[in-house]
Amino acid sequence: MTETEKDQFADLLAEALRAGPGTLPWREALSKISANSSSADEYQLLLSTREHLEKGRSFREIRAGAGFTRKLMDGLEQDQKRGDSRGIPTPTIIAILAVAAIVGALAWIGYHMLPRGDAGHSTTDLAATYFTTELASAKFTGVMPAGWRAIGTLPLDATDGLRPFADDQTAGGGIVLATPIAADEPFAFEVELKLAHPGDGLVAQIFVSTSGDFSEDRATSSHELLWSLRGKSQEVVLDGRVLPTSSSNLKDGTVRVRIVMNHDQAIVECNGQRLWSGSHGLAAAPRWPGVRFIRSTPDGKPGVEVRNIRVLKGSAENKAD
Amino acid sequence: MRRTQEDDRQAFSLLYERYSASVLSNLYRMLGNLEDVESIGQEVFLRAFRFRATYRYPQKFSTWLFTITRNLAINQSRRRRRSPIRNITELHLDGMDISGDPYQVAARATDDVEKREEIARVLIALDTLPMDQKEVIVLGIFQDLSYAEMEDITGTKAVTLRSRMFHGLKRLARSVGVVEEKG
Repeated sequence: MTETEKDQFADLLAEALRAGPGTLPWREALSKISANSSSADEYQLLLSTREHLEKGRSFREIRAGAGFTRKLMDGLEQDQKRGDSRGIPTPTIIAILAVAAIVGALAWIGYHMLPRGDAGHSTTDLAATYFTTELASAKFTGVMPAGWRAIGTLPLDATDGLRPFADDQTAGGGIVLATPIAADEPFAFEVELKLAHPGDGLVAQIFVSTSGDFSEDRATSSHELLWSLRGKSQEVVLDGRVLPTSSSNLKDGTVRVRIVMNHDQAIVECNGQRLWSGSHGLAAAPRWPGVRFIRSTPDGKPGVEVRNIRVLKGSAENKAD
Repeated sequence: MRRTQEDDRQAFSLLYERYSASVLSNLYRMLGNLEDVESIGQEVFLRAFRFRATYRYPQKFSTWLFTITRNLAINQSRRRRRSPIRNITELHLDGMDISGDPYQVAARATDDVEKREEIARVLIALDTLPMDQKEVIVLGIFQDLSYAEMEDITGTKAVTLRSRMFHGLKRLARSVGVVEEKG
């Protein structure tokens, strides 16, 4: 017998064993077993066992008695009376409730713990707010602008723009608004930068911090929402976590970054394109907007400079229609 | 079944009359416990009526019904908590006293005493089979369902069911001493 023939015979035997004595597969299997002497005895015994089962077909053959049928019909009637409320069995209800609870918990976690890409009405309201009243600004004419204070240890050149001096010092330095903005005060923080072949060794950041304490070495604080540029690659970072954005690499030239914020929402834009919006999750503490440079490798020319800065005040009364 | 789906209780009664013996016998063969058969049998038909909207033509009604039966039987055998045995006269099933005794079944099948003994032993050995092998023998031989129908009911491929049939019968033969152990 070839392998194919063996498979065919196995199928035939299985069918004969199911169908039972007197059927066509049974007769065919019998004839093939006779021709296949090697395992004939074993197959014959299987067929013999099957014949015993055939003779015992009435084993445990029962029927419903009148009492059984009456009980069932009563059950059906009660079932129908209970109507559709019984339609969903208790385990299904429990399963639905369990799923609803899990989804609810995940939604709560998502709402409270994760930064959201779209914060609904609150962000919409923020985006529709006009910021017309200038709270502060900074132009760079060779000296540190009034109303701003220096942070960090990286020496900065404020001549016709703000940039790190071209040297090998690896540290962070920048400027921050001297007087913070109240947490419940909506404001826009606008910074214009100029890019000219920026290298990867220098990071430029535009931030809003909830703390006035900045580290000496890097000029950073613990809780911040910031826009960051390394080389020509930009990202938005919240409390150290890089947020998902639709940002693309920037080109040399002027870059305008805008962070708009109120007590719980924020929008980060670059060149008019929204990079991220949502709940910032920052504490209800005074806001410290600022810019900084962090040099990680000594690579000479900065390639990026801050041209000017504006902080604008908004209010609920001057929303756009 | 279409009429049953339109809430026709009379139509459901006809289906019940036609299939109740098959369902109850199947449960009895699988569970071997008459109390379970009575309670699960009730539940099978209650569920069939309750969930009649989930039946979809052209699936065979018997296949759909046996799927419900099988699921309930499996659940029952998993959590089998045998309550104290009740007096058998409390059960509302017909034919249980005769058909449940393998020797009585065998006696009605043949006058050959030696054969009677072998038949009875094969029937007794059914309860010693693993559940999956017993199931394919009960459905395929006692309920006369094809491998394709069993595939639909159990969700197990026909090739596997054929193998279970073969090994189940081999085990039955061995357990009653008609097949010598090989290799």
